[in-house]
Amino acid sequence: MSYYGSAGKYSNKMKDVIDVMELQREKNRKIQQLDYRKLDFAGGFTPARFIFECGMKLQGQPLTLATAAILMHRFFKEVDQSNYDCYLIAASTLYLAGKVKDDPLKIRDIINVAHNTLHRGNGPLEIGDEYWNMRDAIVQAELLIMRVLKFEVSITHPHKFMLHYLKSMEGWLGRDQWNAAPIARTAAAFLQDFHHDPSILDYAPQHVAIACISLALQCYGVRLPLIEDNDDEAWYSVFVKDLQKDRHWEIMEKVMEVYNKEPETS
Amino acid sequence: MMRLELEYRYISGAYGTVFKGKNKKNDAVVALKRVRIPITDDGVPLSTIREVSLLKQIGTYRHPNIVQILDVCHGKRLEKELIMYIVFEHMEQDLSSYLDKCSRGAGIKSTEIRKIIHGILSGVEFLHLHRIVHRDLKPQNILLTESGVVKLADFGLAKTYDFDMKLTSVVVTLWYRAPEILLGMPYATPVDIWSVGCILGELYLLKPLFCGSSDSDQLMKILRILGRPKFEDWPQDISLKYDSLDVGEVGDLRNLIPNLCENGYDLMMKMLTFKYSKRITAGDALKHVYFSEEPLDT
Repeated sequence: MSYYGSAGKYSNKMKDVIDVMELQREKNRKIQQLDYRKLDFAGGFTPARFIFECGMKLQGQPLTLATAAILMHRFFKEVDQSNYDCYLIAASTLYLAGKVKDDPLKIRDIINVAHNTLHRGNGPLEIGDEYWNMRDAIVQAELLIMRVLKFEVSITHPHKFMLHYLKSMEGWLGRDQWNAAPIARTAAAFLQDFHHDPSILDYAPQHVAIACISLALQCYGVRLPLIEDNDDEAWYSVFVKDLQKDRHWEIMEKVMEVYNKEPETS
Repeated sequence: MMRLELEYRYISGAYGTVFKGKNKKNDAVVALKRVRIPITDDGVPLSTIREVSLLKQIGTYRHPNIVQILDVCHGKRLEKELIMYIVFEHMEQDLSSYLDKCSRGAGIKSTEIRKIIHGILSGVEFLHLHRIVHRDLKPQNILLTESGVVKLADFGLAKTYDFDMKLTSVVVTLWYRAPEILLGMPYATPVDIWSVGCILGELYLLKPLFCGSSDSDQLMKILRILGRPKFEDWPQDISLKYDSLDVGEVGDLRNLIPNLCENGYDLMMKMLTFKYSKRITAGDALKHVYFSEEPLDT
């Protein structure tokens, strides 16, 4: 199995992918501790990052965190971002997402985790005016988000499509080849990370799922058997019929761009 | 967002008040349902969020037998509650007023009944496929278009309505309630099938099948017509013991509804099966031979 796939028309794009993977590996050696108070909105990346950090500490389900990120991006698409504290909105979308997904996160836990993530090293928030103000702010913000989103808070996620595509591919590739590279893990990681970017709202969930799988296949140079590499038909045409090749590339590039948006830590 | 103008209040039902309104943009007449949402220390209740978002999602499918949800708007915000309006397409007639009209006239043609029941079951099947139990199917919330297409209304907000109901003292009709609800047991989608069975009977009979005045009276009325259930079908874990059931004389559904055809009777008995796990599902009911037999005009 070649890590770089066959040389050819994809080789330039492939190089990007490999670079991204390398960059990722480098960064992942140590989880960086961001000082959110020094970061700006960054097109929604910062609050999304905050959602995932807090959400994981709260042990929310992956779909709950994805829901929170989508709700946050949708909210800021409708309003002037400078009028709102993005961390309050992020914490409130986590709270709302817990309810939407029936994976309730306790409001007190959210307040403590959010507070501690913003002010690292501080002890838990004392029950006092500050706590009650935060609690009230989250409850009010939740209602505001619901109203701004016109109560449309249920989301069709790419995850379920991805699961079915991957399951079919497992049989398609055969167990040995499937186990040789962590395709499913990588695709799922790309998908989760793509939630840092509001452009995820612009694409059909099925298409996002395919693009993330494509990227994972390319990273590990995995080729699907019985597929002729030609311009007329893409490997994914058995799964989705309405995804044009250039759109497919566009999504993949958007996914890769996310990794350039990560703030540098000193 | 729609600009709406409230015209007048016309039903003050058990589940909130319904208004008739007009969309100022296109003059379309709409029905507005006012629901009170409690706001607690924990914000909007989880059940309301899930139900409202599901309702909005359901609206995108535009099922022909489901009343179209046009919008969800928020109204006044009070200290401890939020007023919410759910905007539906408006229809003049419901099955209850239709039944009224027909009972004073020549009754309903059996081909028409079949069409109505098929429409109701299609709507119920759709709701069940989307994990919604209607819970309160009755002629009043089954709407009829001018061409006679039925549309189910008033679904999907069961838990939200529960709150609202605590604030209103309107009595909810028991006549279409399944035995498991009357017995206070956990219930699921089969309760809606029971209600459809009651409505099927009512369409032939031109009056409600079982008209109880309390939970226990309702249960007795059911058993007096359908007979005592088999011992193994009686739930074990409830306080009402099987042996203490004194049903008395049992009537016969066949004699009660002489104009009901053989296949209609069979389907009705499958829908009015006492034990909910043995009751027919909406999907299977739609495949029943009752719907495919030769059209007969009576």
